Amino acid sequence: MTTHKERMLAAMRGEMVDVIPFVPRLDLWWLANSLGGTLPQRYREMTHDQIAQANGWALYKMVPDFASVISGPEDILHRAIGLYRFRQAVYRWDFGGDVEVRVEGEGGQQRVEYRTPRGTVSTLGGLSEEMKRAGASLGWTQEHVIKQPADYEVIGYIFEHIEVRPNPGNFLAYAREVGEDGVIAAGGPSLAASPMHHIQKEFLDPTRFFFEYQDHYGLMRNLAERITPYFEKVLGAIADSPAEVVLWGANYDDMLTYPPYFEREIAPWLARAAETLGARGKLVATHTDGENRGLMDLIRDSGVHVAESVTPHPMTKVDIAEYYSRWRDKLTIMGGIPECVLLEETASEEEFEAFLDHLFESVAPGDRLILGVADSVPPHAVFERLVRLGERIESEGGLPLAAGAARTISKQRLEEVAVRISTPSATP
Amino acid sequence: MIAGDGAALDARVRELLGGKVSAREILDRGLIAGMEVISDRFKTGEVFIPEVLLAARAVNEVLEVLEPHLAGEKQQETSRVLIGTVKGDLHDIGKNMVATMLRGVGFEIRDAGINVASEEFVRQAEEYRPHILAMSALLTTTMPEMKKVVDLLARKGMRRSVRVLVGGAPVNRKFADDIGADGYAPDAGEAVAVARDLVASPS
Repeated sequence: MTTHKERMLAAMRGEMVDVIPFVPRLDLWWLANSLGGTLPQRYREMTHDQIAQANGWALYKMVPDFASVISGPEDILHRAIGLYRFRQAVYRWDFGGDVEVRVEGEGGQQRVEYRTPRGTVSTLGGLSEEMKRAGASLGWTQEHVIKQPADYEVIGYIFEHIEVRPNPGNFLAYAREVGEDGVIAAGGPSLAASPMHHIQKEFLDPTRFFFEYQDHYGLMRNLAERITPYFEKVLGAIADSPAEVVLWGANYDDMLTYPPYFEREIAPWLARAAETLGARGKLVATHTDGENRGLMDLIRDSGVHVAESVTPHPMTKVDIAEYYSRWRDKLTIMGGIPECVLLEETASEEEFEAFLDHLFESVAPGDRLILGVADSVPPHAVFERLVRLGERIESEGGLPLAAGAARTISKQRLEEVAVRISTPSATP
Repeated sequence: MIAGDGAALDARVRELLGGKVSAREILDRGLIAGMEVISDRFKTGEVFIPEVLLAARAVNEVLEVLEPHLAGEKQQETSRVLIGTVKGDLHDIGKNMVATMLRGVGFEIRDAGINVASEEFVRQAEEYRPHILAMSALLTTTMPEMKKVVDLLARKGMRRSVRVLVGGAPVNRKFADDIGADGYAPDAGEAVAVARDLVASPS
């Protein structure tokens, strides 16, 4: 019998599998409802993994579960400079050189100061209980690290002195825990795909990033070059690791990572990661959650093997049919079900069912597809819709799908069939 | 201006003022008309968001040069927008872009910030008297806050004077209609067009 892991890996490799894998990301839904005391009664004593297993779903282990760190809050203390220690990492990083870290405040709002021989920089942010109840597992950066041109030099010093060493122990333990119930993606150097993307995602607010990219391009380029060795060390550690799948980079939006920028600053690193890791037999996934309309060809041609957290219309401008027809030759699509169809506020029951009808009609023959909710099951999701989704995939997701052939089997039809097959005279 | 060159734009505006071109004409026929060109090019994909933001920044900078001169001319009423991210939501990427772009095309903006409670939105609306109240939410859990604001505006008898514009990744047309918003914009570029329609059409 095929396991969830075997089925997912086969789909990621582009092989035809028996049924479309279904891997809903439940961690944020679970966190919010667990803290709010609003988990469905039958799930009150369960973890999100146990809930998935109880429903027969594969475990989602692509984006790190930031609520489940290795040793405690300090593992996400450096979130505002884009550095984490999570269970999915196959390496360990530590500050090198002469970097002193000072922390003021607690969880909800912390000031983290980095003192170096080149100067001092600081960040302000954190993760409050209120944010967790709203479904956030990652802290908010209230004050970014780059505040003035002199800060570039300090951050450059910090990053070029980061030490990276292979450390697959936590990853292997996690893999044993998950077993055949899912695929764990080893985490990349950060949630960014490239050093410049890292600067954009972590060091400045987005509007200011664009101004600095124009006004202080030289400083920014120099900083990206000083971050590059950290990315290279992590790439090497992952290449030598036992990981089968790697998550490299996240969040592509044609406004924020607009096409010429994506082509110049992101695509080359995606290609490098895919080539280096692919040569070592690993599959590279990238978390594409965002408006991909202007980036469709660039992502498809980037060399990565899996587009993870694909978020189609109606949450973005790209229909699932277009994603499938344009990407299937080169990429496995993971996700494909926008979270808004699980909410009463944004989709009626009829609209939810109509989306699924359209989905099944659009993705024939159904290979190179792993269905899930993108970006994640929202805290206020109608859970019965998720259950219904699983049922429909089980009943209609057998491969290969015939184009336009998938249809919901009505209750009346099922009853007719039940009567027919239970009548002795119907068969010789 | 289209190149986002603030220094060159500043020099050109001062030159025009020295040549006795009125500040109002520079604003209307030069800056706002230029931003409309940029907006159109953005919609057709000829330019990208950084170009729009850089042009808007250049315009905002030279407005400081023009303002003393505009004060001496007959004032035209500027459309005012109160903008913010709803309570419980700390995301401000979309909100900031919308604010910058609206400011660039001539709207007056008051930014209420992030994590803004419904009572605070309405308090600021009473004080600022905006033509449009624009709200953003990125989290599905915070979307219902938008309805609270719409309902509170109604209870205060302000729904006829303030048009409500909503946006953010999980927000869609159905949700906007259901909560009684006047407009919905899927992205920052669209927000400019929707805001213009809202001020042009009577409530």
